[in-house]
Amino acid sequence: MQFSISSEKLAEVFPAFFIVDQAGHILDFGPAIARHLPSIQTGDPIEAHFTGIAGVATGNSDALAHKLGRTLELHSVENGLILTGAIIPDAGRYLLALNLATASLNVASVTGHNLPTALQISDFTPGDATVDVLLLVQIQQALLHDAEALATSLERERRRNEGLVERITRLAGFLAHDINNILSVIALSAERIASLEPGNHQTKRIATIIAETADRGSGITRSFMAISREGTEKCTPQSADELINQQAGFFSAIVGSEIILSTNLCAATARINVAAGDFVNCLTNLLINCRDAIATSGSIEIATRVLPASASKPAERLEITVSDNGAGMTDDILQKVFEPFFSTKERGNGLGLPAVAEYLSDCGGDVLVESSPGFGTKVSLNFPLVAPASISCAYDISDCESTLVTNPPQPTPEVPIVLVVEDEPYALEALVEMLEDEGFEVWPAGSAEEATAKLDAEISRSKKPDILLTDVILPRITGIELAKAATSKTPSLKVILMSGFVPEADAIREGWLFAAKPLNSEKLLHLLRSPTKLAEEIGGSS
Amino acid sequence: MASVTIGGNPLYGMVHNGIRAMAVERLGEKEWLRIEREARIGPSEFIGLTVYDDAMTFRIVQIAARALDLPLDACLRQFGRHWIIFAQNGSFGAIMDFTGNNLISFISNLDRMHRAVAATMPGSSLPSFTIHHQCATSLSILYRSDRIGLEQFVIGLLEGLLEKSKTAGSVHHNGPIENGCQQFTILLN
Repeated sequence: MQFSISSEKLAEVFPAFFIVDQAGHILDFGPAIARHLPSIQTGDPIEAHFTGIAGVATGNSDALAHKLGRTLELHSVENGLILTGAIIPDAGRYLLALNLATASLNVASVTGHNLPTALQISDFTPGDATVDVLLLVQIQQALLHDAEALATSLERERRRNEGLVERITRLAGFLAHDINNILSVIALSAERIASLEPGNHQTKRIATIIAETADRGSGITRSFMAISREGTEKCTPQSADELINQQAGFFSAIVGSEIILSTNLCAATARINVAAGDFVNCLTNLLINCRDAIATSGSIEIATRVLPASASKPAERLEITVSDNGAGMTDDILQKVFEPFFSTKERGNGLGLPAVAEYLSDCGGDVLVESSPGFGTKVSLNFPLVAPASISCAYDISDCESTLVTNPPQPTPEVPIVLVVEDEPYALEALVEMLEDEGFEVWPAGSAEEATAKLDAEISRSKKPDILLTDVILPRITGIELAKAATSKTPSLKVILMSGFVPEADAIREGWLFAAKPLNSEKLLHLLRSPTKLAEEIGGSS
Repeated sequence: MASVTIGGNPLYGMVHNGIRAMAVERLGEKEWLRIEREARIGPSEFIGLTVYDDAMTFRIVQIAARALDLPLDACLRQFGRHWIIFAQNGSFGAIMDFTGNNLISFISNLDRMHRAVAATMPGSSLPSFTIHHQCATSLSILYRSDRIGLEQFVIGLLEGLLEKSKTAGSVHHNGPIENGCQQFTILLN
């Protein structure tokens, strides 16, 4: 059978064809050859550009005829191109019907790494499966590249978020400290006003309002401090009911005055192993979501109960539910609520619920969200309970204070001398006035350096203070460092630390006392008048 | 105003990535995040070769068009042009080069490339492009798709290909012909 075909049509079927004469000189070639071997010219002996046809240039026509009926394989001497195909004789010429060989191809060759120009689909015969293989390899590479880019992007977001959270928690701590100082001044000054006119009921009433408002403010700052300690506190057995009650003021402030926040706490004796700051932050995230789900007014309830063991959960656990009567969520949104960065809110960052889920997982618990459009949302947190035998006495400043309150103060036989160190001038003034009114001799100091100078001067005159009442946070030298130095000079010195921050337990020495800011004068006076163990042993003032 | 008929055929995440790239380039990251919230989508809607419901994709396009202050058809046309740049500059650049380095070879091999992509995405529905007729001054292209209403997007794609191959010309939509195909003509300068 004979037929004729134009070079153009031949090029479509065999893009890498050659037509050579019997001496092996190139008469024509396909577009793939022109693209990848631009040095080839018509008239060139094919042997000059490829290996695989030996002896052609010497005019040995048998060399080509010898290849008839066999697969021809040509290797380019210029680059990695390998061509395979057949030799077809045609009226004194030969058609080399060639295709790019799969053996020479890899991804690098497709991208041009070892070819002058990258390969293209048009370099292959139609239907050559090599094209599909190469496309799939390239798609795989594209997917890997996208996955790497996504992982990098997520890591960048994670670090940015971590940095932001760290800055916010530090800011919360600083704000809490400064606000507590201010509230202390307000509370003490309110007491001073009331004491100036003891018979004036209106003055007393106003002073009481000021003091109670300062106390409510201190509830909020305590929550700020709890948040600022997130991640650094150790987990200890705690009562969720107590933690929730302590943060009541803060939680109410979070949800706002238009929303009724109620609690139904039925697990007073149950203990869970948590750090207070992390626990508060977890509930804060949920309350913010509830608040945002309520358009104008509505209600939110926090409830606790102990769930008994069951077939699927072999141990008792504490269930804390936070429910609202807001808009509720559709099923498609509900499925995504734990996806990081997913949010339907204008200013949402989509990290609240994922953080809650991660927190519960770290605690050994789990979280369930139930919601329905128009019927609100309920989030159930399940915490494993701490076994009663493993509950030990945890360091808790409030416990210390309450213990002291139950012990009746012992009157001091002589006028005790109090070295008061406070860098906030108005707070120092209020303290000095209050203590002097209560019969103390007061040595005021506005800094640790000033206190040390005063102490050294008085010691040289054989006079020593009985009590050191110092703020913890002081410029340059902390109150704790001051107390350590002072007690080394005066071992019988009673130390009372004041701060909005609760110091770490290992920073405080045995026998030292702590007064939380904002100060309450009744509690402070009790601490000042109460005996210390050290004082009792020495037989000093009691 | 263009109307798009959603035939229940899914599009893939790379399209969402393309829309996002265009919106971020023109409106900024912050505005794009607002579009995401309005469209109720998140990171899981941007996985490149995962198929998504058409309705979601077109919701994103409609919201983006509003944000860009464009009629939907104009937005689709601009997105078509942007799509070529986005695909070329992204992870699919090597695939684009392999498909063809000039206008005619690219369009001629596009169906073959789409077949390979479709092999990795079961359930996807990719369009077909065929060069129906060509001469020195024009190309006649047949476009076939299960979706209706994307003609402006196709015009944008072809304009983008002209730009990519540094070929001067204009694109015209001639309308439907038999077998459900749409005919487009590229007039070459």
